[in-house]
Amino acid sequence: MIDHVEFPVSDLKVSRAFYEKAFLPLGFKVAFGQVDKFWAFDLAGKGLFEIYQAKDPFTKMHIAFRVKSRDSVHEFYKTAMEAGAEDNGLPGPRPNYTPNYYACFVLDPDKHNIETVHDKWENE
Amino acid sequence: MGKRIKHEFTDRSLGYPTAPPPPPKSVQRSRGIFASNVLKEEKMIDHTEVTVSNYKKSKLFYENALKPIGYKMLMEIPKEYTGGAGVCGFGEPPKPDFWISEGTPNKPHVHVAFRVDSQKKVDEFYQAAIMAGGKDNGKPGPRPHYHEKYYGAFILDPDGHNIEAVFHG
Repeated sequence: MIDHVEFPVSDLKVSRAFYEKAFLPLGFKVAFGQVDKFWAFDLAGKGLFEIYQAKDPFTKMHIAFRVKSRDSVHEFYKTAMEAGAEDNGLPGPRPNYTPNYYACFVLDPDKHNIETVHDKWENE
Repeated sequence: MGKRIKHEFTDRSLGYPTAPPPPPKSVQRSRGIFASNVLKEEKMIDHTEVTVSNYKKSKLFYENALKPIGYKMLMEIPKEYTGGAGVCGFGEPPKPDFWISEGTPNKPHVHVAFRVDSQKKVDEFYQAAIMAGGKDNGKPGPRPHYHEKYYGAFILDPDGHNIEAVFHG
């Protein structure tokens, strides 16, 4: 499994505030970090999502967080939009990915593409 | 080729000019405290993606480098759906969680760490990745400045993405 990923951000304060709000329904909170350098969000003990202050222009990235239900996809979308995200795909099925794929996509303050997904796979 | 990340602390981060401070003891002890009120799924990061310049080369690299940690290439997206770019996903069967897609590599290079369940697997990942053409970016060993049981190894993939395997003890 993926343990952690780091995303560059253009304004660490702005992004921390954004993710603190957007992650509320998921329960992810800042676990540690360093002012003006980076912050690490604890993903419920199952990994870290880290944001760090970039110095130079950077490429947009994509990450998807797994959630427990379709309702959670909607909750995340609503909260992220209230936190200032830009819509990048309304909550809904994406059967072209997998038969039970249900997800939404938002752009964070730097236009990183953030997804939450609920899916059912055999053997899971 | 073989470019090193500029600053002294090459291990983990593209963004840290120096090693990040160790998390406070309270944080170390609290790993997982949030688990009670949230999700039960094993994974929280469902998937992420890096962009690679040479699809065939990177696909082969990751097939070999990630083999010791139980990862396989599980899904390849037909080019008619990708605008011609090579795209495939690796993971522990059945589901991929790490995708590569062909294009202009991310700048700065991406850092992704995979969690494994033993020091041995960290060592094996490192060996396999070196054999597959990866560049050393931090040999297998303890990283007590992260937390006291942290054991990791760091490799640069063919584009310089910083790939880690970590065992948390």
